[in-house]
This record gives sequence, structure tokens and C-alpha cells, in this order.
Amino acid sequence: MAAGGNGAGGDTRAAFARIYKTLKEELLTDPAFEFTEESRQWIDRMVDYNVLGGKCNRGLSVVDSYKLLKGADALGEEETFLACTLGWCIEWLQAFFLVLDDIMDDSHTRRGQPCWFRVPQVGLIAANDGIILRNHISRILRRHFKGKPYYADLLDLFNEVEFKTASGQLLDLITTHEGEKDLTKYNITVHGRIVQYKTAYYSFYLPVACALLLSGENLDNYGDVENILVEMGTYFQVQDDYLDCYGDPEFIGKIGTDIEDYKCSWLVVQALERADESQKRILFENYGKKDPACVAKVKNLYKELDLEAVFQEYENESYKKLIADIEAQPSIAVQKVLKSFLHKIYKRQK
Amino acid sequence: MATAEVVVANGSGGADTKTAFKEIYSKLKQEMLEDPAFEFTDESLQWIDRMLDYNVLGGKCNRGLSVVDSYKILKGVDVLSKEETFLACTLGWCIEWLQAYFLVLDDIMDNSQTRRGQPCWFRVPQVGLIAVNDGIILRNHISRILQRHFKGKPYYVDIIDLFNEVEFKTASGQMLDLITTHEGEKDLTKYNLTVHRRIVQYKTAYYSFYLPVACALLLAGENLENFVDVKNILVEMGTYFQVQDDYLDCFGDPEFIGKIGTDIEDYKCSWLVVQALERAAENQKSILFENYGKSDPACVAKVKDLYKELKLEEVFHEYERESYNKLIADIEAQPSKAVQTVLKSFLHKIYKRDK
Repeated sequence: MAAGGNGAGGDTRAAFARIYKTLKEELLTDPAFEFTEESRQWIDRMVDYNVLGGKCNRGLSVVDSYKLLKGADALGEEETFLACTLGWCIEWLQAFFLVLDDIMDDSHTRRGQPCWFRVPQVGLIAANDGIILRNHISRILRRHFKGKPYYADLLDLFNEVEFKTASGQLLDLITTHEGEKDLTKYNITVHGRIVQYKTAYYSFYLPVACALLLSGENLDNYGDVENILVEMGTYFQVQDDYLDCYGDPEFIGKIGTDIEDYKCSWLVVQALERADESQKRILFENYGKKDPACVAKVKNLYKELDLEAVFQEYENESYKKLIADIEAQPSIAVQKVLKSFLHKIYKRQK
Repeated sequence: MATAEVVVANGSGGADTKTAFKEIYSKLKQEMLEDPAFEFTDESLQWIDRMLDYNVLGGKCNRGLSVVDSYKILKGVDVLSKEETFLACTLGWCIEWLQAYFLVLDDIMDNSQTRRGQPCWFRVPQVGLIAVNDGIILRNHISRILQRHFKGKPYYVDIIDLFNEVEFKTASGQMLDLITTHEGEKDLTKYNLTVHRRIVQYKTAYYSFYLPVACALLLAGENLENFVDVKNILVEMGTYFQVQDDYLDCFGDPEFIGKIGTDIEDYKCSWLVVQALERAAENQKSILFENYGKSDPACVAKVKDLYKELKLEEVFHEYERESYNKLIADIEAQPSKAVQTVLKSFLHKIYKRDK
């Protein structure tokens, strides 16, 4: 029963939620800034609105990975706190990216509510709020990890992953801009690069890297693990692209608009590779338009090219390659971490 | 002659420091464009190249150059070695990069039109709100530069913590400015000296005044926790600097200050309007309530006439003299002569400036 108290699945979530409250309270009383009542209320609301509301899979996976690396079912109180805190830093990082992405994409809703910049009184103040969210990570890390031998490594890790993600976002923005003029600019290399940098590093590599640092490891010795996780993250994003078009809106929680938004989606890239001239013309004439008739023509073409079957084959091959790469890793604990990630996403429907 | 050549080659005098500073920008930019942490496409390289030149260059670089000047004074030398020059200039550029990041985002949030005589970056065709991500890239470049050139130095973590803390204070000050302006648009009496001071302290003073000297102190091997008095003096100086800015926005010569001030139109929590609110009689307050924050030139003129009526130019000059006297007294109470020299150097660059 003691084991249960310290971190079985349900209890991990409860601890995770409690630690959010601790961290937020610390940020709202940060001695580095003299808060006014208005500014404290603003940040309180802003943080709840943007950091909460997701599934917290990235954050929780730091705790899960750390347990697997330690070969323990239960973590000590301090260990739980540190792992959850790093997990929340990743959730804060994602919140920062999403707030700014929504502004740049001119989006309307996020997780079933208006995007933060759409909220009355907020508008483009949201850009500074995104910056505040990013700065909260540095404040949290300094408060709880300064003095740890891996503190500088944590700072470098978060900074490097942020740099890769922002660079991937830049690539996405200017590629879409270029693609709107010439759809043939969309290809598998460009798509691979965008998803690798924009999503895979912070969603897959970062949680495991945090767990490795907590375990006292040197990340320079884990280049293979980084590569596997980036590959897994790429596969995850291809699934996202597929589900945007083929997923059940009831399940995925939104109506996909990649076609309307002129996205460099894996589906359109595959279509361009397989289409003959007349089919390509259908893409050139209908991709990136809001008109439901145009969207339907693109979807019909995807069916004609049998892209669902292409995706199934891609998924099967990706899974096999990932499993082979994982099982080539010398550490059994690391293998377990990587398989745990893979099995959470394999053949998911949302 | 060898000595003279070394002196010239290594950066004596203002002009040579500026030359070295400029050369180091080119080197740092090249490193950013070749960063192994990202696979650049030609399009993304061209974009970042242009974005950097547009936003990081173009200012006077006073903040950046003051790292070098301060470091020389702290070391008590006229000449720095090549390595010392490089490290000091690099930290100076990190501050310029930091300011560029803030200004790109501030211009978006303020819906501004021009910056340093050219359209704001987000106004440039093809850019628009991609500028938000460009701001983030600018911030990330600082971390990349620091990791590349300072990792392995005993003060590496201290530099990162310093930049992170100053960034946090600046973003928090910006937030305070944004929500205060929002509140003030509904109720001008929300503007007061305490709020104004807090905004300018956090939004400007830490990164413009404290950060350059703190960088020089770290380069000199100092522990910043032993220099809290220095921090307080520099924050006070930065506050005075911003009050000057507020004054010059309204009373400065546009030819000199390089822009036409719009604090009145923009409903800014300016030191001038705060002083006016403190001194105005009820009917004068009504003039402020009815005319402040409007673009109509007639309304602006009424506010300016009221500022004259309340003799705010004289109030400012008295404030300036008192600030100077207090700052000099605080500086001369510092135990280190080198630190005194650094602080006086900063103060004399800004005292009674007219742009």
C-alpha cells in the first residue's frame, strides 16, 4: 500500500496536479518582480488558461520514464517532486509555443475554448504572455535545480530544444508561405524536417532527456536514443496529419483543416508523389481553399490514390524499424522507456 | 612600435572598440547561420540573415559597447587582450540581441509603424506575424551564443541565470505596462508615481543599465550577490533615464530625438502625465481626462498647454538635479574606485542629454 501512496498511475496524476499548484503559487510570489494585484490576477488566469487543459502526456512521461530508468515502482517524495516539476516545465514550454503559434496561425479555438489571444481584453498582449510562460520555466528550474550537478545541463537542454522548435516553426511558416505560391515545394524532405524540429524534439526527446538527467546520465552518451525518439516523433506527427483528414472528429476533438490551411501535410506530400498530371492539377486548383467543394475534391483524390493504405503500410514499417532500433539499445531500462512511448502512440486514433 | 601596433590592433580608444564590436557581430551572425543544432534550408538561412541585420543592427549599440568599457575600467586597463575583447563584445551583442527581441515583440503589441527610421519588422511585406517567431529566434540566439563561447567558463551558469532573470523582469515590466495602459484607458487616475516607477524599473532599467555592468562584473570574476548596491544604483539611474525619455518625447526636438513623440496620443503612463495629475486642480484634471489618449492634434495641444501651465519643464529640471545629486552621493559611497568610475561613466553619458 505504501507503494501505491508514492506513485501508481492514478496517484502520479494526483501528485502531478498538486505540484502544479505549488509551482504556480511560487511563480505568483516570485521575489524577482513586484506584482500588483492586477498583474498577479492576470498571470494566475493566463497560466491556468494555457498550461492546464491538455492531457499532460509529455509532462507525465518524465515521471514514468524516470521510474523505468530507476527500475522502481515508487519514487521518493523528493524524486516525485523533481520529476513532476520537470514534467511541468515541458507543459509550460508547450503552452508558450501554442499561445504564439495560435497568434501566427490566426487560429480560433484550442482545446475546445477560444485561443488565448481571442479572449476579450487579451489580444496581442498574448505575445508577451507567451514570453512570460517561457520565463517561468527558467524561474522554476533555478528555484528547484540550482545546486544540482546537472543544472547547467538542464538549462542547455531546454534552450536547445526551444531553439530547434522555434527553427522548425520558422521553417513551417516560410514553407507554407512558399508553398502557397508553388505547391511542388512540398516534399517528403521538407515535411520530415519541419515535423522533426517543430514537434519531435520537445514532445518525445525532451521528456526522456529530462529523465536521463535526473538519473545522473550524460546526454552526450545517448545520441542513438535521441535519434530513435526523433524518429518516433516524426511518426507521431504523420499520424496527426493522417487523423486530421481521416480521424473521427468525435475522437480527435476537432475538425481538421490542414487542406484549407495549405499545410505541408504528409498526405499532400504523398499525393504529389503519386499523382499523375491530371491528378496534380486537381491538387493545384483545390488545395488551400476554404470552399467545401474544393476540400471534397482533394479528399476524393486522396481516396483515389489509396492514401489510407499507404499510411497503414508506412505505420507498419515505422513500427518495425523503431522496434528493431529500440532492441539494439544496450540498456534494458532504456528499451523499456522507448517501448513505453511507442506503445502509447502505435495505432492511436486520437 | 610593436606596443603601439598591439594597442591599435587590440582595441584602444572608442573607434577601435566599435570596429572590433562590428567585426564580432559578423562572426556571431555567421555562427548562428551555421548552427549544427538545426538543418537550415536556403530559404530559412536567407530569412534569418535578413531578419538579424534588420533588427539587431541599426541602433547605437550603447548597451553592448558599455560592457567593453565597463570591463576595461574594472580591470584598470586601457587595452584588453584579443580574447578578453572578444568575450566582452560577445556579451555586449547578447544584450543587443535581447533588446532586438524585446523591440520586435513590443512593436507588434503596440501596433507601431516605424522603428529607427524604417518600418517595424512586422510591417515588412511577407513578414507580418511571423515576426513573433522571429522574436523567439532572436532570444534563442542568445542561449546559442552563450553556450558556444562561455560553456566551460566558471561563471557560465551565472551568465545564463543573469540573462534569464533580467529577461523575466523585463517581460514582467512589459506586462505591467500593457495592463496598466489598458486599465488607465478606463480610469486615468490609475496612473501614479508608484506604478510609473515600477514599470520603468522592470521594463527598461534592468536590461539597459544593470545587465551591461553585471556582465562586466562576471567577466571580472566577481560574484553578483556582493554588488546589490551597484544594482540598486543602476536601476535608479535607469529610472532617471526613462523619465528623461518621457520628457523628451514631449519637449525634445524631433530633429534630435529622431522621432515625433506620441505618448499623449498613445495613452502612455508617462512621468509627465503622472506629475500633471499630482499637481492639477480639479478643472485642470478635467482637461486631462477629456484630452489624454486622443489622436486629435487639438486634444494633444490642450494637454501640452496644460503641461506648460503646470511648469512641468521646471519640475523635470529640478527632478534631474536632485536625481543627479543623489546618484553621485550613492556612487561615491561605493568602496571600490573602479566601480565608482564605471557608474560615473554611465551617469555622465546620460546626464542632461537632449536625445
